[in-house]
Amino acid sequence: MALSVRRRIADIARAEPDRTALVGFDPALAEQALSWREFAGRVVEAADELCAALEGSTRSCVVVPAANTLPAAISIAAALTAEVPVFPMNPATPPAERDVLLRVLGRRFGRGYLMDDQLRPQRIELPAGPEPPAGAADVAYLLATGASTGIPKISARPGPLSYDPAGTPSLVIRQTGWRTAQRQLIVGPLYHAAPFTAFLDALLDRNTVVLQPLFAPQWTVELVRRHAIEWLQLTPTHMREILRLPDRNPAAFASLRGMLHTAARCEADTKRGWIDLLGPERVYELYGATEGVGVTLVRGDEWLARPGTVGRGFLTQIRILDDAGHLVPPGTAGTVFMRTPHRVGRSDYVNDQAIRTTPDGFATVGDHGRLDRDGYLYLEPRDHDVINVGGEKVDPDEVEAALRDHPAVVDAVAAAVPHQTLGSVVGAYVVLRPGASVRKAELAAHCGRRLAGYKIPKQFTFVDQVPRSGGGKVQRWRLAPHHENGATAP
Amino acid sequence: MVTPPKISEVLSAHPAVRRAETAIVRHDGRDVAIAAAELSEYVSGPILRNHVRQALGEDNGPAGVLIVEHLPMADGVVDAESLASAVAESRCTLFEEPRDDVERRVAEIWSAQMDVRPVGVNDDFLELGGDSLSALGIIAAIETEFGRSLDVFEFMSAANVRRLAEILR
Repeated sequence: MALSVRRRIADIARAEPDRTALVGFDPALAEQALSWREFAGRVVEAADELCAALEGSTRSCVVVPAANTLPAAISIAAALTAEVPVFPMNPATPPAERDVLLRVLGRRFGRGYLMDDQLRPQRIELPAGPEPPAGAADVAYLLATGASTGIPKISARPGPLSYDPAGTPSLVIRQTGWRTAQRQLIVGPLYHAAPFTAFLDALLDRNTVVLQPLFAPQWTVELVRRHAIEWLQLTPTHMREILRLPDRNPAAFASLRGMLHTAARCEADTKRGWIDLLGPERVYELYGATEGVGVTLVRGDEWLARPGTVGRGFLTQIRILDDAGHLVPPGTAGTVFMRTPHRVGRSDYVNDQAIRTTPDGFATVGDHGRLDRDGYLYLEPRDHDVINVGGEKVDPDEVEAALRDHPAVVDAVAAAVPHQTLGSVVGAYVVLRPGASVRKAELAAHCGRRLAGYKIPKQFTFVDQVPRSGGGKVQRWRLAPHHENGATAP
Repeated sequence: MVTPPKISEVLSAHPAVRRAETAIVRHDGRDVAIAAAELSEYVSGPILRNHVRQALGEDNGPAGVLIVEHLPMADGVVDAESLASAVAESRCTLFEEPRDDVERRVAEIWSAQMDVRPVGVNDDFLELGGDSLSALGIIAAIETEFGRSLDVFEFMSAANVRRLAEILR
């Protein structure tokens, strides 16, 4: 029994008109709340306006500049209500990257609309593709992926979206402390896959959603406490910065039933810090590709028993294959292939960057890892991130964790720097704590106490901030002196 | 007993199967029919096995269907050795009836909730077409039938009727 988004929002608004649907902040950071009645009213109004603008044209999509604001949230809900494919876009996308994304959309859609702050659809030009847009399957929403590689890709989720009481949110999310009609704080930006899908689930599962417009660790903690937040999704970057707060009070998190982190890899110290803060039974980690190939889930207590694991497959079978496509035994690393029964919902790329599949239904996005004997998955760094120092492989995560361990360092990225004899050596981009200063030699010595010689950065560059995607993944390509695709460094 | 060519013929007529061959293989002291299938679209071994059983009758299907990239052929016929080693290395799920009452009741619940028949005790939940909806249905039915609560994680780790029955025993 699946209901349309329009019907579901109307049902909730009728049943609980005065309960809060959304809490957001205006540009002056004044708090604004919308009841379900108010929210539903504005969504329907915007959806109707959108339908009128489309004039029955079928191959259209809506681009929403998706900062964490009330207009963005209403626009997304309106597009889903109107059953028009919606693309939440980072409002700060540099023009060159934006052109690439619009070109990709133009291959699939004949017309584009941009939702403005007044919830009015504005026609935008989509560059026409080599072939006329195909009238293929319907799309619910589109998400930009490939944030860590620098090649903008868009993945499309088949649609239209509907509400199914047994599947909204998915069973795996239900295992992470999620409760129907809960109060949820959304910290990550709505144009990123994890916060976006959490918002859709929240909407259909009648949550009260608090939208944090920009991340400040103290503010996140304050919002959790003040709104008695029950469920929260964070990235490792958020987790790290919250742990760095001088006066961390576990009582501020008393209302929380689950904290879920996804997307980027989380280093052991940060993970332990959160397990200490919340207790192991409230810390969840989910590994899964945006493309819906499969997921693994691990709770804090399982992680403590197997530090570093991303968990076991959840409704997902996992196989590790070598380069020739043969199954490797437990403990041996290879490419991670997964298989889930939810193949119908798997997103496909709008570009031609298809997922690799096997004849028996397994698929991979190219991640590397190994399984232990009990089926727990451990990920290895992606091939393109590994730094090869004269044949020795260096995992940048390990170097970054060592650097962040220094009291003067807030954030760090390790990347390959060309070297005449070794091919490459480790270079480090370091963000210092405000007001702190440290000599490069001291940082090198600090690393030397933690890392083997070849892993110690030979070059340090101090930067104001590390470029990260909304999901917290380091955008190493933005640090490289010359990068492709015409995208510009910030 | 139905001949291997008949099994191959039924399998090859399945829309997702490109080619199929069947051989008789010695396993655990008895002869079993094992089919190998090349697919154009993914379907699991147990689902294909059930497809043949429905067409040819309960006792006439293959014990297992192995999904392969290329049919292993030797001198123009399917290489029985290769199928035998797949069975020996448990790369091919073999159909097995429940051996006691607990397994029988669990298999019955799976059949009803997933609308799949028959369910072998070694068949993987996901390969039988299980999803989150059928998982919840099975968990609820098990709670009613056995008076024991089962969490989703326990259910997922069990993955087949035999291991689930062990938890419930």
